[in-house]
Amino acid sequence: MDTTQRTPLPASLTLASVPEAHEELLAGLEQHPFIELDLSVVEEIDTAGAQWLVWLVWQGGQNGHPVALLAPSAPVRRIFATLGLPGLPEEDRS
Amino acid sequence: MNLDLALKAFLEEADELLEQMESLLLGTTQAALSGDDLNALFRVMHTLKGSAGIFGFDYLVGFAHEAESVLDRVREGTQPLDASLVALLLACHDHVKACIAAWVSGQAIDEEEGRPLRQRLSFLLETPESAPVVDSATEPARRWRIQVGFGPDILRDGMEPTEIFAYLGSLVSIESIVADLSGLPGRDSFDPCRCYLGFDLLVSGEVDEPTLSGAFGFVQDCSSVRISPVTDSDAPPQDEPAGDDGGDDLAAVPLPIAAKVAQGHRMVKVEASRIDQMIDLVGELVIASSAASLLAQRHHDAELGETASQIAVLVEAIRSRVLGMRMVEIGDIFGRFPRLVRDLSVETGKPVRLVVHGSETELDKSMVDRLGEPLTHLLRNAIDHGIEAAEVRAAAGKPLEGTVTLSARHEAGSIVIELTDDGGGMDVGKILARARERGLIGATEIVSESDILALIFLPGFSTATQVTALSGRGVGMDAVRQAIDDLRGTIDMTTRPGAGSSFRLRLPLTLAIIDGFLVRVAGNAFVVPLDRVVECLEIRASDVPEEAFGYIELRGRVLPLVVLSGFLGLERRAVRRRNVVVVRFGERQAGLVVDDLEGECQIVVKPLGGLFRHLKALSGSTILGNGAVALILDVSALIDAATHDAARRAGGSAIRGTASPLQEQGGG
Repeated sequence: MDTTQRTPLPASLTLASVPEAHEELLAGLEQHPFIELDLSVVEEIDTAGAQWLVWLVWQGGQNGHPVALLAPSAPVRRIFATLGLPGLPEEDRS
Repeated sequence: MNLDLALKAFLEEADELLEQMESLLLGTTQAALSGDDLNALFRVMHTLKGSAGIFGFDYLVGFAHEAESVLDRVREGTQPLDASLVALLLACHDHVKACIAAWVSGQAIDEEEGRPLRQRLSFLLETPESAPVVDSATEPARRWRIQVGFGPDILRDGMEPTEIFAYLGSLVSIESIVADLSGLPGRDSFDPCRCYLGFDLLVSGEVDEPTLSGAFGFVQDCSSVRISPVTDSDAPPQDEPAGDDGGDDLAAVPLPIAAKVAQGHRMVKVEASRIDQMIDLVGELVIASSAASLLAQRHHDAELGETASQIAVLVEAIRSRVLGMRMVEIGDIFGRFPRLVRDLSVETGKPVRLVVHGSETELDKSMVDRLGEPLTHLLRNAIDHGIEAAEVRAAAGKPLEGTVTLSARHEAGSIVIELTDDGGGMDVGKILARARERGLIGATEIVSESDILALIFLPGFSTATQVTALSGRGVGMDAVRQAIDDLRGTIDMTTRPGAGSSFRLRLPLTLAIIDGFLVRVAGNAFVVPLDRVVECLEIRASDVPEEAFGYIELRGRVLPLVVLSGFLGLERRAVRRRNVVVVRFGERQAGLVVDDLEGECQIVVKPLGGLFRHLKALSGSTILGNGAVALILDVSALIDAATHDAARRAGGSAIRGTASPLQEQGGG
């Protein structure tokens, strides 16, 4: 349980904000066996943001430090569906 | 035709098809299925119907025909694949599976179970077809496949693919879209402002190609757009990815279901036993290659030595590729758990979420096959007994939905699988009281928490009347441990009252060929798996304990020692200095006192005969390059023995009933 790092992501994940978030997150990417990215407060996301999330999951898988996308907000779900991207958890059916 | 072989092939194919069907249906909760997926779903029932006909399995022919007809409507777009149809198709999947199992074991088919399902399928077929998803009441819709590889700078240039697709959606109906991730670069070259994505879309509508092409007008200069008509229900060609960056890394990318299904078409099925035979032969090749190297050394023949080392490099390359053929993703097992969690969640009335990490982690196919059952046991226990009822969670201030996390990762030549729940945890005090009551632990003995928790893996510990917090936790736990033992793995658990429990399984990646470290004790050769070796030391003979166990101080820490000559009942040689191989297993370390260190070697693991299976300190044998036999030491068991002895000396106590390997060794 202690091996997992849960990181909240900011409200905006767009072309303008992703480079900064990328720099911040990159350093910690390999310091924990697992990283969970909390997407619950993401209000604004574009293709650059969605691509970055998918890259983090893919890169984590390559390096043996799995990254999971958790609690995706509605905008995140919408753009993943629009772009046919994998990596989101199952939708809450309750 | 050899009917036995044909039947075997049918059963294997049915297993695979049904697994694919389940995975596709469960995937609908994440995203709508693509045209490829719908075709694949249809083909499952279609193929089963055809194969069942060959064997005169008439019931399945009839049942699959009805399911196939409904699926035909789904892929044509005249029957929506909504939640209720997904549930019906999952029930059909279960019924077909049960029918095949009954049929092959000569039992009666439970047609009663299938009757309501057939009624619901018939009802759907009798209902007039709804209008197709595409809006064309008069003329048949046209379907197009669009493959787009966006240029790297389109995002910087202010173009937004989602807006392009939104415009496209106003012209046609987008049936499916699958992103192509094969262009994603590694860490050093990833620039978040560049676009690395490609897309593969299936659209339908009364439009012509120039109109579709126009939707990509703003990006056409810097992107590749390929538009091709799709005729009938043919699956679109899968010859190349849409991106223009090449697809060399395609296999390494976690692809969505549609892409995985398509990849399956490029695979060649090989019987597992053929790969096993090949691994055996490669094993012999490794031994022969080592023998050639030894000969070259012995005769001081430099040219022969060079050739032998070239052969060794090639043999190593063949070895890793052949072993790689047997490596499969652990996702093959993990993939069945969402269904189990969904069913158990309904059954127990507890909302439970399954989070899976690392399903792309690879391990030997033979291990994967044998891991399904113990993991299912652990998962079932976690939901049945670990996760509390929603009202209990609410009262404790926890989220109503319980979470079970399943993860896999590689760690120092092993695979580590962890299953964690955020349930109520276990009450160690109550387990201890129960153990004392049953005489497993003396009334005044002091034992560590990990030793107490290890009790739940004892056979029968949980079969009698239970303390409430433990109720059911032990069911099948001894079977779980046995299964993990058989795979030469270990299982540990931790628990926090009120916060949940965590099981950690550590398993070797493969059981066939390993890198070893060769040592000698009283002239006998022993091999320590190389990934367990930390370092080698030399100590004075006077520092070596007289008995089988002892300890030394190493850089300020106590290192338990196992004197192999004493432990194995071999002659103890009178020398001034002795060698110690420091080994580790998980977080524990111990030193093995040996006579000589011979260095690294690559060995083919041969299982011990039935007569020697109970000797837990030995995990197998191997034949060295010179033809001599060497025994492989089981580091985990040796460390267990050493730490138990250290605990005994320190005044603690090993728990009765969990005999140390030393005791077994002595008894054997």
